[in-house]
Amino acid sequence: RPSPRQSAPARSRGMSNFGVKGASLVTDIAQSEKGTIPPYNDELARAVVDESQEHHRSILRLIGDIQAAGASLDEAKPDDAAAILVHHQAVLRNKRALLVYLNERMRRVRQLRWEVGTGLPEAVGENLSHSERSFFTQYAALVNKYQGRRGGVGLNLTLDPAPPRDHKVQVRVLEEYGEIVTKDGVVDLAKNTVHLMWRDEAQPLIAEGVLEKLDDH
Amino acid sequence: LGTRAFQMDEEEDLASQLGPRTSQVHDTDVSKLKRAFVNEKCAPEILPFEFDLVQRVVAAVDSRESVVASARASASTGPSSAADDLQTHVFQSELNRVRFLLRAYYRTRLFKIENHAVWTLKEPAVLARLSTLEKEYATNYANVVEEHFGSVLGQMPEGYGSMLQQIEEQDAAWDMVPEPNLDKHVFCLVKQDRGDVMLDPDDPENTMDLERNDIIMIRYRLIKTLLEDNAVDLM
Repeated sequence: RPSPRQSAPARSRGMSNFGVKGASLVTDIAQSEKGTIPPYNDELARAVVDESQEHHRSILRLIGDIQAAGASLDEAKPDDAAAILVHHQAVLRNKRALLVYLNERMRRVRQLRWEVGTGLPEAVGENLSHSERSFFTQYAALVNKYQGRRGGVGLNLTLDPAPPRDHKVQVRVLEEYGEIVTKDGVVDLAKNTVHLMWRDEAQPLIAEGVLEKLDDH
Repeated sequence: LGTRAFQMDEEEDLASQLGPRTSQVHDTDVSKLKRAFVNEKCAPEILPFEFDLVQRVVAAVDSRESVVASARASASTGPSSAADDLQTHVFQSELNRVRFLLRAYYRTRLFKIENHAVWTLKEPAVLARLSTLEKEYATNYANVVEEHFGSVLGQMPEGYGSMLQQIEEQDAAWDMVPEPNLDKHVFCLVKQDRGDVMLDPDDPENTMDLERNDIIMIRYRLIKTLLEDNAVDLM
């Protein structure tokens, strides 16, 4: 019943670029600099989801047309079956693109907990979606629990990313930090001063950027 | 591969500084832990958790730590010999290195759990290799991920919202669960004479003569059982 002319409007609706938005979303994260998290592309992600909803409506309409014509789905003409299949695969492709995007960003957000700690830097937090910020908080709590003394292994797992060489390190203070209490007593971390500190006490401060490790020559 | 070679040099440094290379007779807990860590680092899948070994090492670390702490306390209040100071220094270095091994062992396993959380939870043979704390971690992690993905997948059309199946179908397989690649190639050190061994069931004629101290490079899947039998170590 649908005449060739009736299918022309569908083509002019721009449905011929299936998967382009999804590919664009994947490129967004693939081309970003490793170790950074670009701003969450909410607009594009929504567009991919909306496009999927449109595909789904097409599927339902096609099924409806077949059943209205009195046929069962098994008896559908090859053209109609093919059309349904193409829309279905288009949704799956979009879903895959969305998950690649979310998954890679999630991997980088996890990395933050190990490199920076439980405090999310404001500059990074701005680039995350609401759900990603929530994920970070929950993930950080999971790691904390696993590391903790009660109900955990009782060992700070973010220390020693590499095998240790010395147990004291020479560090220089980059940012004024004030006095801290260490195993050796009170140390005043005034800007640009050099100290010999225990490695495990210095490490978190080095990671935060307060201290700079001075290499032995 | 360049990065791994660098880390391996660090490991060698560590071992040689801990003392002469230990023979099989004097197989200390620390060297066992080091092997467990290296195996874990090289294997594509998670290996059985070395519960007893870790417990012993943690106990030893705790007791050594209190020895060092009291030695340092008495050194700061009274006289101490150069020999005592040196011993404290050596103990402290050893403590740092053993703690590194523990941390790295736990970390490597956690990352494997994160990368294949759903797979780990749904395969009983794999789940059995986790410690109780790790099982808890795996479950909670999978839930947190599901919630996060759900924030977007929940907007997808009906039937397309699952992170386990592409399209939701009763009694169909979960086709969206990644699993570790057991066909990854690994280097192995053979620890026992095994003679002619048939490694590949798809190629039964092609046997390999495995003798102690042989080093082979082979697909992980084919030496998985030998690793479980402690006949090889990964490197």
